[in-house]
Amino acid sequence: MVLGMVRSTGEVCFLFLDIVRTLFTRPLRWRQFLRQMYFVGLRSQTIILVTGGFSGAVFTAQTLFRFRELGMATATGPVVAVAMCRELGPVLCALMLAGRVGSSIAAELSTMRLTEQLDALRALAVPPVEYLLLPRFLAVVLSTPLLVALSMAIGIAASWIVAVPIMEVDGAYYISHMTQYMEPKDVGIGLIKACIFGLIIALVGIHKGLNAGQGAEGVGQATTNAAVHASLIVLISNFFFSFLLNAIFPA
Amino acid sequence: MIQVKGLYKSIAGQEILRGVDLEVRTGETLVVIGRSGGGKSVLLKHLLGLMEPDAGEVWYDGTNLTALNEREMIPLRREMGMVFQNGALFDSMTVSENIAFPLVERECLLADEVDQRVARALEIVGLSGHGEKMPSSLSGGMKKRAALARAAIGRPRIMFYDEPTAGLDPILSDSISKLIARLSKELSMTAIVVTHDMASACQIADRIAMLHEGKIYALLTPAELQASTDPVLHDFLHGISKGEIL
Ligand SMILES: Nc1ncnc2c1ncn2[C@@H]1O[C@H](COP(=O)(O)OP(=O)(O)O)[C@@H](O)[C@H]1O
Ligand SMILES: [Mg+2]
Repeated sequence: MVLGMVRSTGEVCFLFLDIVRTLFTRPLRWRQFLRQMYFVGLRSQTIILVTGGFSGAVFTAQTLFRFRELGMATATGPVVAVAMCRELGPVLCALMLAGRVGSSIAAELSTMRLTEQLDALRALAVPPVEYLLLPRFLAVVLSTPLLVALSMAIGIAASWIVAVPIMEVDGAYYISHMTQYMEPKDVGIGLIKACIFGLIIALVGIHKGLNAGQGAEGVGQATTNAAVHASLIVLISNFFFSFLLNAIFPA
Repeated sequence: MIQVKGLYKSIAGQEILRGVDLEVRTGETLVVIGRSGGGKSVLLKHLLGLMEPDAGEVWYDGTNLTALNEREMIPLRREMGMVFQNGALFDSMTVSENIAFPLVERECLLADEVDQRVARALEIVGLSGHGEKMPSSLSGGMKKRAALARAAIGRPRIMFYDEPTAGLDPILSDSISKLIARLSKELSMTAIVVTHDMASACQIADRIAMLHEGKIYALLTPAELQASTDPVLHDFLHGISKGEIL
């Protein structure tokens, strides 16, 4: 298993290098890229809105229940906002995208390989890296931070809705405390994480797709593994990145 | 001229090619016959560089294909066309878009001109009116003909056909054989055809190669094959099973 992990890591690194080299040496396939942006970026908005909105809302409600007893209801604002930006927004978003986008990339590529469509592409003198992999990779890496930003915004908005109109916290204090204790750095950290998570989702999805086993079972396994492995890597690496980024941008 | 020198390939511990040596002359039509599962498709994939051999080389005139990387193969592959056994059409595109793909990708043509050439190609392979369908809604034979149109539309110098007539009715199969012969004559393409269809083989072949147990067992003209008394060739030609299967 350790050997397998080392080998996969190596393969992913080569894949990454190949994609980056293609990015700088070959013209981008705009049509393919825009199609992927549409699928990854636009079509994921709903699930991201729901994820960000409800996690912000429930986190606010739980925090308020406790904080109100202590008479610090307005402190909920900054707590939720910072948590949404630094942790919840990026991580939950990445988990949802791993399930939706990473797995669909793996399913698509493994089916294409199985039905010899990848061979056909190569035989027609079009490298799959250029035509299939790079557009998908770029679409995921670019849309993830945008979607994470969206989920941060919606999470904070949902938090305000739960706190102010529903649970009757003073709106003016809520906002002023939030803007006072939240810094641009919090958003920055979230977005840096988002970029890294996007990279992980894209590379794991592509790698699983290209290395799928034979038959319907192979496609199924590649699809599940793409989602599960990407999610695990996101969760584990998030822990370390939190410490690392905290060291780089001290509080 | 294509030269195959001592090609070896094992997949998953199974030896499939065990030293294939073969020379294909420019402009000729070479038919490869052999038992199902004998490695004919694998051999074709090596000729296009889609698979890497364990040992051996494939030469195109002065170029060693085996030594090239994926990117360096592109110019060579532009001169080749391959009809895959199951068509391998892109299932996210319509039949027309599939056929137009090589033109759109490789040549700077006006949309009108592409449309005209696609319409003409559809007509030649008898698929007029099916251009807007998705590949998944075509029958096996129709897929194969669409794949043929896609492979040939860029007028490559070398064509590879993997069982182009399998699964077609006798009349269609005859018309595809005639089409292959015509492409070879009129555009002087070199053609390598894998087939089980002996009627088609004898009709189009300049020479016939028999792949048997991972090697080229025999390389002869259709007339010589008909006259051959070699037991392996004779049994294959007349479809006699020695009871070694089943
Ligand atoms: N991708 C693959 N993975 C594993 N085995 C393969 C693969 N492709 C071909 N084979 C094996 O190679 C042998 C030859 O296959 P093939 O070249 O398709 O035969 P045919 O002569 O019928 O075209 C078969 O035994 C097949 O099981
Ligand atoms: Mg075959």
